[in-house]
Amino acid sequence: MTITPKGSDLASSAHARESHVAQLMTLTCRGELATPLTPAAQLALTISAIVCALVLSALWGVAAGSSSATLALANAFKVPMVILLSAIAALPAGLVALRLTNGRLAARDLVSAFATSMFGGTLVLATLAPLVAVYYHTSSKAGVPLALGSVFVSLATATLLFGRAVKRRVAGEPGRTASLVPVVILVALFSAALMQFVALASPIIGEVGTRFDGGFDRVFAR
Amino acid sequence: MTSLGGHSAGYTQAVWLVASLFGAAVLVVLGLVYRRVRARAELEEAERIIAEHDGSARRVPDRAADEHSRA
Repeated sequence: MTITPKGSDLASSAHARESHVAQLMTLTCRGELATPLTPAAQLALTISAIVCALVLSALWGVAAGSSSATLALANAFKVPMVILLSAIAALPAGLVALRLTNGRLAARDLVSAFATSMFGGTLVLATLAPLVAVYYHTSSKAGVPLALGSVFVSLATATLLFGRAVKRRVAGEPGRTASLVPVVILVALFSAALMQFVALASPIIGEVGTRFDGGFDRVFAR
Repeated sequence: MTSLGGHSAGYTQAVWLVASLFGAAVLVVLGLVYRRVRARAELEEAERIIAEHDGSARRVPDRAADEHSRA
């Protein structure tokens, strides 16, 4: 039996054929898709978001380590791994917080919003990567601060995107403030884990290193 | 020479190696889950299109019968 979709069928199948990257860009820019996804499609998009985020962060890693070919190659593995491990370390606490606060958000929605915001954050990292590379090679003063600054900008972007995504998903429902608690916990734990994994994987930014290469002990040393 | 947390550099490297292996294993699992979930998503999409097609095909004869009875 051959089925030829017409009218709305055609529009919906066109939406289904839309690439995951296009869907992720729509989610990053608008905060939601035109039509809701099935649970399986949502999980597939979440995994795609994670993989895309890792690829984008690898681009930044190569730029930040471009002082030597060895470091650039190592960063292509180290930076994505640092981000993935930080996310893995933070996720369980976020899910437990979601349950404890009785938030009006499904666990898969939280994970999906987290993965999409990771994609958004690493997109900012990747777009700033050429600037980081250029300044690293041409300025002794601005190179390292710019690389560090790009990380903070991407973290702030990802946090805003995450908050917006969760806020939209619980809009109009009672007790929606409770759903924002896991967002705060996830972001705080992600940042805390990121700091230590960066220290474990150091050097990442140039051969000179930064204050973050020593982890918590050095960042908060008196 | 001490490294992170007062541990030796070798210890820190070993921790990073174990963490990296764990991360790589998670990536492999994600890849496997993606294959299964993608197939299920395509099946769900196909079922939805068939259901919508059946629904619209059923509506067309109904409308024709209504117009015929009105005439």
